[in-house]
Amino acid sequence: MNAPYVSTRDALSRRHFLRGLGTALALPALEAMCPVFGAQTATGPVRRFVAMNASLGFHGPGLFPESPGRGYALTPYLEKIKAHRDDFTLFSGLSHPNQAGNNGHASELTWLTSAQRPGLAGFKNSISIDQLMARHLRGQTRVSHLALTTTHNSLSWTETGVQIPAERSPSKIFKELFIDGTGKEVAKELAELKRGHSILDTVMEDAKKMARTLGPQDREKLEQYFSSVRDLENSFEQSEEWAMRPKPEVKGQPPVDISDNNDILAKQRQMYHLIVLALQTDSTRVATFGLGALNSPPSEIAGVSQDWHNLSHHGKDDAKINELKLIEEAEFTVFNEFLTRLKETPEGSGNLLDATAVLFGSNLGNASSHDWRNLPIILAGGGYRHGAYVAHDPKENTPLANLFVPLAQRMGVAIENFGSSSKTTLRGLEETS
Amino acid sequence: MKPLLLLLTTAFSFSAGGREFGKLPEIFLEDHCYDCHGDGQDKGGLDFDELGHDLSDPAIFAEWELVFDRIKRGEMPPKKVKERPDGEEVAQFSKRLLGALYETHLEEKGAVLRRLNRREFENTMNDLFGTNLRLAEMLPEDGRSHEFDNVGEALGLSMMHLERYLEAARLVFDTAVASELEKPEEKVIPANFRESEIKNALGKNWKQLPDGAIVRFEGGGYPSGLLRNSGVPESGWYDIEITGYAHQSKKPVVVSLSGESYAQGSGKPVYQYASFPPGAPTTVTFTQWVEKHFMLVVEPRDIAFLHSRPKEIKDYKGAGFAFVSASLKGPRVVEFPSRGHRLIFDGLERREIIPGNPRDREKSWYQPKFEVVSDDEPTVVLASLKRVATRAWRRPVGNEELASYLRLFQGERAKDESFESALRTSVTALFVSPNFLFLNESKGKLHDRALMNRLSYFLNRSAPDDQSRSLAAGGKARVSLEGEIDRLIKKEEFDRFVADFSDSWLDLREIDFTAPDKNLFPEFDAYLRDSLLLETRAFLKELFLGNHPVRTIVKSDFAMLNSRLAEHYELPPVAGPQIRKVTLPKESVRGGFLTQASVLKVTANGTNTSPVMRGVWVLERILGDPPQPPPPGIPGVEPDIRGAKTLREILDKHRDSQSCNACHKKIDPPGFALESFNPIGGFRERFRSMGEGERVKEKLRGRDVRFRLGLDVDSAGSLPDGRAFANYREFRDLLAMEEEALATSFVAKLLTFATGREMGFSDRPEIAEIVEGAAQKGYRIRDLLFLAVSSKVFQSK
Repeated sequence: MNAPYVSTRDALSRRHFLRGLGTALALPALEAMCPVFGAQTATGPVRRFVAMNASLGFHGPGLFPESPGRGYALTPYLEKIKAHRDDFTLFSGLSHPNQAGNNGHASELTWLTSAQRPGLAGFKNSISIDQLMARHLRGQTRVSHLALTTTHNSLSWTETGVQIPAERSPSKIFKELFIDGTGKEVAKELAELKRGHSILDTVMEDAKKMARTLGPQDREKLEQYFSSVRDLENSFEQSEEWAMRPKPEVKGQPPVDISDNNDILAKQRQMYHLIVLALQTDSTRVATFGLGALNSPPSEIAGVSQDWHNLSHHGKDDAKINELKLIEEAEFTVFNEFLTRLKETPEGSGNLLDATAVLFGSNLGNASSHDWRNLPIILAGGGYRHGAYVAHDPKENTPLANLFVPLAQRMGVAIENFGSSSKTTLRGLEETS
Repeated sequence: MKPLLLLLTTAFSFSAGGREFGKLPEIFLEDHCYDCHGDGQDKGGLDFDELGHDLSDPAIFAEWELVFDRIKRGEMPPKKVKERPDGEEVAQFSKRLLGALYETHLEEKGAVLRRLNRREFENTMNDLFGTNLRLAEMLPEDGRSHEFDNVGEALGLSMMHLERYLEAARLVFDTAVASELEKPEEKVIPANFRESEIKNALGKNWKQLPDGAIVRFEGGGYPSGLLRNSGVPESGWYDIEITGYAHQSKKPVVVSLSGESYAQGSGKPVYQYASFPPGAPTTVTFTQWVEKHFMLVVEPRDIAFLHSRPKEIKDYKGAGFAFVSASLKGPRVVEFPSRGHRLIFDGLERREIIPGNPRDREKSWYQPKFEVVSDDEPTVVLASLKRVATRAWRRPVGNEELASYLRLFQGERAKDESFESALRTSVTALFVSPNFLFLNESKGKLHDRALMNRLSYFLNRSAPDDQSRSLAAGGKARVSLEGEIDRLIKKEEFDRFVADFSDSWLDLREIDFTAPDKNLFPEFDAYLRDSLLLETRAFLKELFLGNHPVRTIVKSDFAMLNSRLAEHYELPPVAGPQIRKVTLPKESVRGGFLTQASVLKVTANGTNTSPVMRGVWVLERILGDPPQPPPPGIPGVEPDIRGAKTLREILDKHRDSQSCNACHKKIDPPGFALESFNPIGGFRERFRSMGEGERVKEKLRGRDVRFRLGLDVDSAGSLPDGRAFANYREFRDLLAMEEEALATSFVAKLLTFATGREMGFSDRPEIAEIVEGAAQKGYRIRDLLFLAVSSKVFQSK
């Protein structure tokens, strides 16, 4: 394992605090925008959101208990996270409506957006819930969000329906968040940002000229260009400010990217560690993570010899289901480590798990038949009352977006609905603090 | 009849974008539809009470379009309903609805400013600058519309795009601009196995022949065929040479020549498959783009597996590849300085800055630095920007338009940036400008330049070349269209069209979406995987170049094959890895796209096939009649591969219901017919099973098999009109007769890809005209292409 050791209290070293303070003094304008590790902001405690999607689903019988309620009997997968039993809620009977798309995995595009008819005629994706939060928090942290993956899929989408490319390399993100450039590098970065600024000014002028020659509908399309330019200008400005601030110090060696593409567990573990580091140092408050899927057998899982995607299409074959369970149990084991780390990391008077809403699940309810209903959804931490298995109607599913609305509200986003939500509350979701 | 309601009947108005598009009296719907689709009934998921009338909503439009089509084709009301509308009623209703749909679509279509997609961005940049950078990978994925990734409507833009465009443009600039004084010399890199590996492996799984050649066998395990000292110092074109021969084999052995690097996730691109006959050593040479640090890998393929080998390798009698030597020579600098360099710096005086100690210039580590000098910077810079912009923006550019770019240059100079750095900033900006990123076509009839741009991006996937540009400039675009089409489809760049169009139309981009189950399909190997893509692309290209009739799409008397494909399809042997046109035996089941392993693979998962998936695919891609997704609340059928039931049997229960049957009687027949082919395109009479079934005694490609032979395949069925077929061949013959439908669908796909816009309701008459125009000569593919390009749909926006 090459994951960095996560410093907890030590990370808040005196040196760091002083450095942080120093820059805050040098750049007074930034102070208000940048709470340094504080558990409080002017408007309340710092809240975070993390979402993880397993795009090949989880075999239902391995996950869901027979009966709902607080006293449910553990299933093989829940067994792996039983240490956190009181820190998570398992939901069934949730899904986004109208997800039959152009192929069986189309609902992967919309897991955090709830846009309907993915991939069919006239489909355009909408903003994902994490991006709505990130936009709200823009400027408060070094990066507004992290979009991560072990393979290819990204869960995050812009307002214009563009998929935000997810980062696969932990070392690259570690460098961006935690390793200060040399004076020369910082100067170069700043110069390139300034050049970028000047370029944007120039092309904006050009685009305005162009707009005058276009018909109304074409102009609508060019409007996307204008907003992209403005967004990038904002982002450049923030990057310029942050470029001059020292990065938080974390202990241990930077991660080394894993070269075995099939070592899915090691890759997940590394990303999870990175997410904890990023949250803990308040480098970001929003992260999405595509847990990955392979068209080959994951390596380093004893007893698994068959292609993962194939195993998910088990066709009720016991031998395949058994191998599939080995993979999924291992994923829950790694997820458990993540929860443990969050829980063990102090934050204000509590711990990081309580300050972070962790959404863990899939866009498929039954991958073997590509069924996008009855999704497996776990919500952990975030200051909610947990400990139960909450079963919604398996026939008439509750919109999953009904969960997104209160989660976003808790992050300070003032919305009353999101995508296909029908309510601002969800049965089984109750705040504690 | 409901006489009372009739009296109360009303009409409702269609609207789109605030405008009204015709009224539709409800009487027809009330009389013939509401019993099942209104007043609380929503059979098949359709309830007219719930269905809106705002036709600018694509989902609502699609629903009404379907209503139109199904009534027009007589599919609704369903056959069993006795009280049917008469011809006059249908005509009246259809006319009204047609009017609303036609007008709405006419108004909406063509109204998109189309952004270059990432493939087009990459091609344009590389062609313009003489680079070969993989820029598409740097850019966010493009949105898709019906699997086409160049439809303007679906191509969103975000801050991320601009950020990456900036990065890409800088990278192109830095790569194209010369960093050397003279054309760099080519180096020869010998490629060998590592000594220590040879030492370890010799006698175990490798052996050495008296002439020094090293013999490797397929599936020989570690060490692999990686020639470890062959890593190239920089990306570029290399002349690769490999010498060897077939060992212990009467026929040639096929060897894959590929690349590999130690960098994480760098992939293993296969460059070539080459054939080495027995006897005297043969040398194979080819020119290949090799990325920095990639090493050469040589692996014998398509020979017996080496897994039950004797203790000593010298006793093994199977075929192997005797490797004699290999080398790479390069990087081959085609032009120095690059065409991008000349585009920017022509007419500028760019010279080396002589270092403080001039002797440094002789040192091996010396990297020259350059400066550009001019007495009149604004003039020379403007000339340079103009040259670049004219190409980048695909049209003449006036000084005035470049004023802001010149100011950008001067601003940078004022900040003490060097001339070259300031120019780099300005040139970069030209490529982030909407003038480059968007294909700016004005509404209505396209002018010559826009027409040539469209044609060039369509058939060569990049900006127009010099000839197209001069035709456009001389106002000769329209009169020279036919010649231009012929020229463009013969250019090497037409391969980009073939790849991109088949990626979308036939879904080939999903070729690796699933990996075939190793137990069920042990014969699937890398050689087959690479061959089946080549087959389909070669076939598509042949359709155009050979101007074949449209029925060739489903039925042909030839196939594009190599040795591996011929074996896979159980056809007479074909020698070597090169794909070529082969005449099929009379009774062969092969021919056409539907029997190609690539298509059969992308329409299956790695384990089993679903008649529904494949049926939908045929309707959507080949017949252009996409079925609606299942109504909400209908769960998918869960496949069961334990061998007790076929999916067809499971589905049969499903189909009894009237509302399922409406679509499934169209979806299922092609799916049933294609049951004769397994997920990797092999012909089958029985399903393979990992549970129940009969043991297989014969070896498959030299290997024991673990699967069993289960239930019989039933590929019989009947078309919606009642015509029955007993097997795939009969089905194919029926399908091949549907020439008009095949041509209509094909033209719609071509035009979607060509115009970057989904074909819709108001395009139907024009498409019908194109198809009719090609009817006399048997709906030939290149004729259809020419007519499509000549049509209003293509020539206007």
